[in-house]
Amino acid sequence: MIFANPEWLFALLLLPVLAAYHFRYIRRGREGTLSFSQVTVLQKSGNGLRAKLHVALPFIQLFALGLFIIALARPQEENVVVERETEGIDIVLVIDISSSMLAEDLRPNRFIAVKDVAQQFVRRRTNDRIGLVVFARESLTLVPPTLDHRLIHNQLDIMDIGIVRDGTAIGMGVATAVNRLRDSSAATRVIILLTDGENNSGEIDPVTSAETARTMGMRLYTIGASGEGSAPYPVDDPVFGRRYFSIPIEINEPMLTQMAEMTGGRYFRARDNRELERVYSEIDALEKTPFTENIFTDVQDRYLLFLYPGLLLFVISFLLKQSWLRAGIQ
Amino acid sequence: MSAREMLKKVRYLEIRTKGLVNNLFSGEYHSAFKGRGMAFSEVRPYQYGDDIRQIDWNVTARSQQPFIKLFEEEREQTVMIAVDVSGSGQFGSFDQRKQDLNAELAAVFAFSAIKNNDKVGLILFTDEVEQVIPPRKGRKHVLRLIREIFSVKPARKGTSVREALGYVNRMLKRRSIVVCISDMQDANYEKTCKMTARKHDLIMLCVDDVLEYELPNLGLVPLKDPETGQILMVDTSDASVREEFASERKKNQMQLADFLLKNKIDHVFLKTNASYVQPLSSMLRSRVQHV
Repeated sequence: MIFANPEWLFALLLLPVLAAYHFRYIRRGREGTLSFSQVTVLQKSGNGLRAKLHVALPFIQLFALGLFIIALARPQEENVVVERETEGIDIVLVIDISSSMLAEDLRPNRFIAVKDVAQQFVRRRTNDRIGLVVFARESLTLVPPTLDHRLIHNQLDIMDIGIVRDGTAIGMGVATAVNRLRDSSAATRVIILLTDGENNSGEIDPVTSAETARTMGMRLYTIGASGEGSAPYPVDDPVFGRRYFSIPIEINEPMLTQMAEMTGGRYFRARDNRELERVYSEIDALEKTPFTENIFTDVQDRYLLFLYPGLLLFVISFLLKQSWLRAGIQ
Repeated sequence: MSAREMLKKVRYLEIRTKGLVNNLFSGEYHSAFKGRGMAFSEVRPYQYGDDIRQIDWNVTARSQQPFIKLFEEEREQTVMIAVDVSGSGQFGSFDQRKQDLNAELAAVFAFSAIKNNDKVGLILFTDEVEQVIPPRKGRKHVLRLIREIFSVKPARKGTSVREALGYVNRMLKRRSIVVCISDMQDANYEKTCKMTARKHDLIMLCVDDVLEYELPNLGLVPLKDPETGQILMVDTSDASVREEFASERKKNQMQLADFLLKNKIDHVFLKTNASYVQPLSSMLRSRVQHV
């Protein structure tokens, strides 16, 4: 509550003066009194409700006057409305959890690197709904698109290779993501697919799934996370301990590129950790949500809040003084 | 009030009370206030009808004729009249204010006193003693007393019966008759009152107005206390206010009557709208019985 003309508030100082004046006026009995010798007894036995109200009347009027003065000072309410338009976008991270993700061409291995980078990515997208889909031979929705980012963090933490049968069904992963985003009303829907291999299982062809994504109006970013040539792959031998085999890298880059470009997205290749991080921040930059912040200062006059009760009190006290609380000998 | 008006008023009061003093109260007053001792007056021959107990045997033996010895009670008492001239005396609902009744009562007692050869003094009091006129005899003196009652301009407005009676106690050494005329709008007078009653013949005349017991329905009126100057708005149209007031007043009066009865102080409650003759004379008569 602010006052447009606060100097009027000084007039409130008049009220005690008026009250004091009124008190003196009463005490001197200028209004004309009856002499009665038992006033002390009456004071003890009570002088009646009407008399008490009558005495209160001038103070009610003074109160009303105070309300008028406050109304004159023009009280206003300032309402600052910050309208922030965040066009929330829906993102589904599709992450490959086939056994080949254990290869250690990214440090410490592909899977953990992806986990870390995905965590960071989620942390940066505060206003977006994010979902999490993992796939190997089959695909599985870990988290449907949600604003509860803690849940996603938790799920990213506990997600592990081997929760589904091994294989790489890229099409299934993308299709599940598409399915999850189908009912979303967000203007922008994005699928970020991360894989390290070639599609080798699943009922849906990756390109077909990209096709459905396009018809649904979703954008698909594809990331190929693997080095060049071959990658060291750990094998735990019960006899000789952990040994590393070199496995060849099979990644169908043309297909991934096609999938991305069909839907207006992009294909990225992440050959090491740094590249992977860059890829995600690039996607983050590409999917910048435009948001507008409008600050409205809404000033509303609130003097009626004081004027009406004041007026009401004044009229009521005036009417009462003339009728029910009329003093004098009848 | 001009001197002429005042004289007229005093005169009127004298005439008004004369009949009363000469006829109604003469005997009652005389017997109500008996003197203390008996003084020898004369010895005269016995006549038929005289009380044989009064025969003085010594004189009878000497003169061989029956003689009786007569005593006269010691008259010439002092009557001190204490009149309350506080602000509340200005109140009165019918044709008389309390002050007027006070003056009339004082006049009745003063005239009765001089008729019985007593000395009369006057004390006018508010919450302090305003004026004191020492006891003297004579009709002129009484007229002066009455004039003083009418002309006094009290400096203060409250009521203190204690002050007045305390003053009387200090002033009068001999046992006297003290008549206190007041509306008893006071407190803390009990102790002094008892002391006065022990030392003197105290008679309390409590003067009230009928409206001081029953509030009339006047609507919402500002009432001003003449003693304290306090102004209070009172809703007299509220029946419960009137009832509360009446019961409070009745309670106060009961307390006062209780106190006076318990201490065997003769008292009369008088109202401005009623005649005081009957209550006064019955009080005097009851005194004769128990003296």
